[in-house]
Amino acid sequence: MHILILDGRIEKSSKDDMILDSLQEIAKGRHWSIEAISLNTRSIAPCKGCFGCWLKTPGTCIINDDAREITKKMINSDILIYLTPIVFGGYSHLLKSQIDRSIGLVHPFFKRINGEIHHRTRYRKYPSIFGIGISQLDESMIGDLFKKHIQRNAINFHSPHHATEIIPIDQDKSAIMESLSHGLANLEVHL
Amino acid sequence: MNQIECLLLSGSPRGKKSTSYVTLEYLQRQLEERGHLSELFVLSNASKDEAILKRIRASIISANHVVLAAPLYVDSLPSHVIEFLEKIVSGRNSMSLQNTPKFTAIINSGFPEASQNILALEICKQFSREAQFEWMGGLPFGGGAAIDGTPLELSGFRGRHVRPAIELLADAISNNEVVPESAIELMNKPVIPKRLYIMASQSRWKRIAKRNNVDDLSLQPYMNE
Repeated sequence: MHILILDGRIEKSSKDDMILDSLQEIAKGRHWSIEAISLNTRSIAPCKGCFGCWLKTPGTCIINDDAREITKKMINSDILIYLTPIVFGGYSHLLKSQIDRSIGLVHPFFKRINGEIHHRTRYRKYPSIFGIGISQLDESMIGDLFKKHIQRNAINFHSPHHATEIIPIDQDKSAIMESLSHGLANLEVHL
Repeated sequence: MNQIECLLLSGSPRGKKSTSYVTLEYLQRQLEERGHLSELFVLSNASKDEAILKRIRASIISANHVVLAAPLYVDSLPSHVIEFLEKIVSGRNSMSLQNTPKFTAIINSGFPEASQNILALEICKQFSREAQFEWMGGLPFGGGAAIDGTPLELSGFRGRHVRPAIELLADAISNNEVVPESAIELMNKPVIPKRLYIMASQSRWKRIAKRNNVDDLSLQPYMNE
């Protein structure tokens, strides 16, 4: 089992490593391999909307920067963790840049999923998604939006399963561990 | 009726040849016909040019109404639009606010169902709250790829729902009213039946791929051996 963490935090405080440390601890206990990518240290240009990854160099973004390597790691993971501050109910622009740049992982042609139109698969297997949203605002509506975001992304990304945990910014280590274990357990039960 | 100053922001990275931009251009003309002023900016230019970002910030201070039009990227806004909106919130939180502009969002997508744009509109609504704008509603625009950068006046049959919807939006802006349900209903009407939309989209992809000398759209370059 391989876990890939896309860390979309723009700034990190000393508290922030509690999340990564906790994830490492959980993975070690389960004998899972785990890799974390801090997106703020990588070169990822915003998507140009050119459809080159579908119609010019199918499956590969025409922009040659770190997004290509990260996209390859995404499709070859079993669980993809989106770790991000919750921004307007969605992802940080850092995380969103990488996700926008990875649409080459799906095929341009459409298929119906539960009556709705989505792009069909390019690959045989896709990772499950675990969304970890760090919340600065104490409003349940923001958390609900983030959960919906992960759910919709999981549909479009053909993820077999998804889970979401909202972690308040001032959460202590034991509460963080409990939330992360809970989220991963929700996925593990299906895997 | 008071003259309204509108700020129109296009969130497509495809610049002026995008559904977002031509929709706002059409809105701009409708607003002018009703006696109002507007400025139209492409946000991806603001990402590259600090001077444009400064002009937009200055315009927000004087604007009565801000309208954002953006494409749906993976269920949400494009990343450069999110970054821009964060800068706006940060800027407004760091100074004493003098105005509360009204804010409307138009989200268009390549999926035929307008409902797939609702999450992105909810994100825009949340931005509006945090920026202390007055949320006036959103227009979800399914099948926007059918417009594909063609000016709405020239889009004929393809634009037969979006043109009157934008005219209704211009009326609502003039009257300081929220996005009318009638405009949303128009945008919800499919451009063409779903089955035909799927066939037309796939034909278009194949034509473009052929022009690019691409035979196989199903390559798997990232499969680990």
